[in-house]
Amino acid sequence: MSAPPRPQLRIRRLLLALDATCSDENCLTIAVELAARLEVDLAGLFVEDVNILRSAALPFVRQFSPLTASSAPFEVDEAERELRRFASKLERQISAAADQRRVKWTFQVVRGLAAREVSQAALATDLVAVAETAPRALMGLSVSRTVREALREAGRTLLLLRPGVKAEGPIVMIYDGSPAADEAMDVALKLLVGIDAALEVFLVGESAERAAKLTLLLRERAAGHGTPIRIHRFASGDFSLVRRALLELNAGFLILPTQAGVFTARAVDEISQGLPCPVLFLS
Amino acid sequence: MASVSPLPVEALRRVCDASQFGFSTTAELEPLEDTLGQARALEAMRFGVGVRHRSYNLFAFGPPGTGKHTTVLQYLKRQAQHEGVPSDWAYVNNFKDPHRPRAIQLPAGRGKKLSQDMEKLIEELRASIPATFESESFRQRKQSLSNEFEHQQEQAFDELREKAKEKGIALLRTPLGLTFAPVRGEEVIDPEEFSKLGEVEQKRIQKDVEALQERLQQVLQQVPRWEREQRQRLRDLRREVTRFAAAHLIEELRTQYVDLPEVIEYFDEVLEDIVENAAQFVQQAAGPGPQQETPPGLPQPMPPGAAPGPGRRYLVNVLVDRSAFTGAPVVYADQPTYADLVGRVEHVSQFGALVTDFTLIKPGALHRANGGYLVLDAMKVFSQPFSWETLKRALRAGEIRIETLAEKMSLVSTVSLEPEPIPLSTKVVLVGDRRLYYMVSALDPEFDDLFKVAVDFDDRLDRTHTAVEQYARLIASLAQRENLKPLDAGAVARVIEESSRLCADAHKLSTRTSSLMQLLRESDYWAGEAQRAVVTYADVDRAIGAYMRRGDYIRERMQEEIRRGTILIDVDGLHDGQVNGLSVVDYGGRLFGRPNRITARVRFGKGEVVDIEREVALGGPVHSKGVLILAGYLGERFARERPLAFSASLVFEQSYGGVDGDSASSAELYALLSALAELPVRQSLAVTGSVNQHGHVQAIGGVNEKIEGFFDVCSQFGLTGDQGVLIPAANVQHLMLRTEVVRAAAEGRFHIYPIETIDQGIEILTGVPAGERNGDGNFPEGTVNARVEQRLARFVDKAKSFAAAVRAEKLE
Repeated sequence: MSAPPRPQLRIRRLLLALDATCSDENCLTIAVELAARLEVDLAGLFVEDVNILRSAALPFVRQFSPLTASSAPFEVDEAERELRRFASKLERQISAAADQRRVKWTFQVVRGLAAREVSQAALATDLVAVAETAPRALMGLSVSRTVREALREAGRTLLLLRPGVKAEGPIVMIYDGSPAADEAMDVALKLLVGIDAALEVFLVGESAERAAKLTLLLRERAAGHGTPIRIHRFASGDFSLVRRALLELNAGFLILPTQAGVFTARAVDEISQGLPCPVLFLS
Repeated sequence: MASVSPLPVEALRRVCDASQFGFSTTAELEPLEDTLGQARALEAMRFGVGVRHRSYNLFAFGPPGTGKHTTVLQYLKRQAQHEGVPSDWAYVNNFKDPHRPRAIQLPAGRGKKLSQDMEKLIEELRASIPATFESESFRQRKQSLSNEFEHQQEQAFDELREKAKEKGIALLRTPLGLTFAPVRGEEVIDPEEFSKLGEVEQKRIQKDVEALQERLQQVLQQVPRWEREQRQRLRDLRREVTRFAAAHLIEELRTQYVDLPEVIEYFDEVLEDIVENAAQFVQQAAGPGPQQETPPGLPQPMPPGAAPGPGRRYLVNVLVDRSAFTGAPVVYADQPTYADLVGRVEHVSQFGALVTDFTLIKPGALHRANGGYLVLDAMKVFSQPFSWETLKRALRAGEIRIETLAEKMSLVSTVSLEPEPIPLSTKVVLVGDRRLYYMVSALDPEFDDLFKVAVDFDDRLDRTHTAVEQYARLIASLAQRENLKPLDAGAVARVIEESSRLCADAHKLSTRTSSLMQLLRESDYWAGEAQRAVVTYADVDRAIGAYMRRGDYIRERMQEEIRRGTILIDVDGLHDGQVNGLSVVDYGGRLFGRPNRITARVRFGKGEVVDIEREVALGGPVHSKGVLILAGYLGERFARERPLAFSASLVFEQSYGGVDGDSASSAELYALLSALAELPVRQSLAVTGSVNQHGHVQAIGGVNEKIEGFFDVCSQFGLTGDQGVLIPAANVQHLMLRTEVVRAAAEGRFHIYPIETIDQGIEILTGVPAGERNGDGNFPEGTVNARVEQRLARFVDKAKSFAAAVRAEKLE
C-alpha cells in the first residue's frame, strides 16, 4: 500500500499576536521554540488597543487593580506609557529568546482594534499564535478569544498559548486521514526532530477497519523519521474520554485539525479547554 | 657478741622444685577461670556491683599489669549474663518541636523492628500518597473545586459584563487592571463623540459606569476570599485523602505496638504529620524542582546519599539496639572523649552549609552501656577535655544529655538539636592506678559521692604450696589463651621463681599478669628458636637473660667504667673511713644495683656531721634524715655525758646525680666509725641497710639488685672468696638472687651477711670486735667502740684545752 501524496507544509512565518493582556514570558518562549523547530520566522505584533486609550480619555473612568481591588484615575498619558512599556518589555523578551534559538524575528507595534489588526496581519502569514489571558475568570475580556474566533473563521492555522504552561511531554494529535490531519502529522514529525519524545496519535470514532487502515498509513508516514509513534483508538466519539486521556498522557503539545474527525469545532474547543499545554489548531 | 656467718645458699634464692608438680606440661592443666590473688578486689567488685544505687560506682586501682581490666571485664561479663537485657532506645522526630528530638524507650529488639516498620511505612506512603493524588477520583474532586471557584468568579464577572453590556458599557483589560467604558458596537466611544452626547446621556453613562465600578470593586474584593476558601477546601480535600491513604497503614502498625503507649502516641503524631505534610510525598513523586519546599518543621533535606528524602522525618533512629543481647551490656570505652561518652549530633554538608536532623544523632558509650556496665580508663577520662565533668554530670543527674562541646562552652549559638535526655542506669567502673585514685579522692569532693567502692588490686600473693599450684594453672591459662606452646614443669618452676623475683620477695608471687604474659611469650619464642614443642626451663631462663641483656646498656657502661678505673671502687684491700655502699638505679623500669664509694672524714669540731650531698642539694630528704640519725646514734652511744667535739663530712664519691633513700645510712655510719676509730675497712665488702638511732640495721628495697650489682663488679676483677655484701637481716626473706650469685656463694667465693646491728657489721668490716660496755661502763680495750670513744674523748680534751687557750689569750 502506497502512501497518499503528502501535502506541502505551508508554514513559513509565525505571527505572534500580542496585546496588553499577554504578560506571560513562557508563551513567548514556546512560540520562539515552535518557530525554531518549524524553521520559520517569527513576527511579533503588538496591538495598542485603541479602546483602552479611548477609555482613558473619559474623565469618569477609573482603573481597578485585580490585586488590591483599589481604583485610581485612568489617564491617557498613563495608558500610552503603560502600553509602550509593555510592548518594549515583550520585544526584549522575544529578542532574548529568539537570539538564543537563532530564530529570525521582527517586532511591530500597531494601534487599533486588536481583533481587526491581528486578523488583517494574519492574512499575510501561515500560522498565528495567540495567548490566552489568565485568570480564567477574565478570559472573556481577552482579545485572544475574539482573535481566535476570527482566525478560525478565516481558516488560519492557530497556535493557542496559555500562561504558565510548558511544552514538555509527548506530542499528541487527533488524526482522521484528512488533508488537515496529514498536515498536522507533518507538523508533529517536524516538531519531534531531535527530541526524545513520542508521538501519540488518537483515532477517534473510527471503525476498526478504518482505524487499521489509518494505523498503517500513519506508520508508513512516520517510518524513516525515527520517531516512536503510539496509536490510541477511541471507539466512541466522546470528547470527555479524549480529554481524560490527554490529561493522563500529560500531553506536552496538542495538534488538532479544526475539524477533527467526528468532533465539531465546539467539541474541539471543549477538548482543548484548560489543557496544560499549547494547542495547535490546523485548518 | 657472736660473729655473723654468711647466709646459707638456700637462703639466697627460694628455688621452686619442679618435682612438686604432678604434670608434664601445662597442657594437662585445667585453666584457671578465677582471678588469682585478688580476693579483696573481687570482694569489693561483688559488693559494688551488688549495690544497685546510682552512687555506688567503682574505681578499680592497683599497680600496672595486675590484670585490672581483664579481671573487671571478666567479672562484669559473668555478672551481666545473669541480668536482664535492658531496653532499646530510639530517637524520633518531635513534630511539635523538631529541634528537640524525642527519645523512645522500647523493649529489647523492638527498636529495630519499629525502625524497619517505619521504613516500610514510608515506602508505602511514597507509593500510596502520590497514587492517591494522581487518581482520577482526586483529580475530579480537585477539578470540581477549581471549576466551582472559577465558575464563581466567571459568574461574577459575566454578570458584571452582561449588566454593563445592557447599558452599552464594556469591561476592558488594561495593562494594569480593569476598567469600564461606554461602547458602540465593538469600539469604545471616542471622547469627542462622547462630549457631543447630551448632558443627560453623559450623566447617565457616567452614573452607570460609576455604579458598575462600585460593583466591580465589590467583586474584586470578593475574589481573595473565594481564593482563600478554595485553598482551604483544597487543603481539606488533601488532608482527607491523605488520611484515607495513611490511616489504615498506621492502624496496622498500632496493632503490633498496642503494649507500648509511647509508640502508639507517636503513631498518632505521625499520622497527623503525614496528613499535614503530604506534599513531601507528592513532590518526591513529581521529582525535584524549584517549587519543592522543605515541609514545615523539618530541618533542611539531606543531600543525596545521606538518607532517603521524603518521609525521612518518620524514620526511627535506633540509638541502642539490644536485639542480639542475651544479658546486660558491658562496654569498655577505649577512647572516652566527650563525644564518645555522651554521643554526638553529626552534620552533613549541603550546598556549603552543615545541616542535621534527629537521624544523625549517634550514641555514646553511656548509651551503649545503659542498663549495664561501663568500664573506663580513669587517666583517659581525666585527660580528655570535659569527659570527667560530663561523666559526673550524667551520673549525678541520672540521664544522658547530648550537647556539642561548642554549645556546652557557649562558643556557638546557632540552632542545633537538643535531643531529649535519656535516663541513665549504668554502673561505671573506672580503672586506674592507686595514686590517681587517692589524688582524685582528695581533690574532687564529688568523687567519693559517685565512686563509693574502691576495688584495690594487689600485685602479689603469698607463695604457698596452693598458690604455686594455682599459679601453674594461671600459666597454663595464659599460654592457652595466647596460643603459646605448653610449658613443662621445669619451665613453670622457673617462671614462678622469676615471679618472686619480680615482686622482690622470696615468699611472694607477682600478680602482674602483663609481665608474666610477656615472659611467657618470649619464652615461647625462644622455645621456637630451639625448635622445641614445649617450653623448658632453659627457654624461660634464656628469655629472662635476653630481656635483661636488651636493657642492659647503661648497667654495662657503668660496670665498664668501674673496671677501667674511671669510677673508683675497690673490691679488695683496707681503707680508713671508706665503705662500698650500694644503690639501685632505675632507668625506665629497668633496675640494677651498683656500688658507690662512701667516705667519711673526721676532725676536731662542734659535733656536726656534714652530709655533702645535702649541702650541694644532691641529697634527697630521706637521705638527709638517715645522715642526721647517725649523729643521734653517736651521741647516744658515745657521748651521753659529754659533748661530741668533732666534725665529720660524709660523701658519695663520684655521685653526680641525686641520692635519696636511707639505705646507705649504715654504710655511712660504718665509714664514720672507721674514721673515728682509725680502723681500716675491708673493701671486699659492700654494705646496704638503713640504721636507727639505736644502731639497729633496718630493711631496705632492691636488695637483690644491690647484691648483684656488687657481685658483677667483683666478678669483673675476679672473685677472691673474700668478697660479699652486708644486708639487713630483715631483707633475707626478700632474696631471690641470680643463679650465678647463688652458685658463687655455694662455692664460697661470695658471701651474704645478714646484719641486725651496726656492731655486727663493723666487726665484719674491720675484723675487730665492736665491743660492749662492761660493768664499769667502758668498752673493752682495743675494740672498735673503745677506739671510737677514746678518739671522741681526745677531741673533747682538745676542745677543753683549746677553749682554755682562747680564754687565756683573751685575758692577756
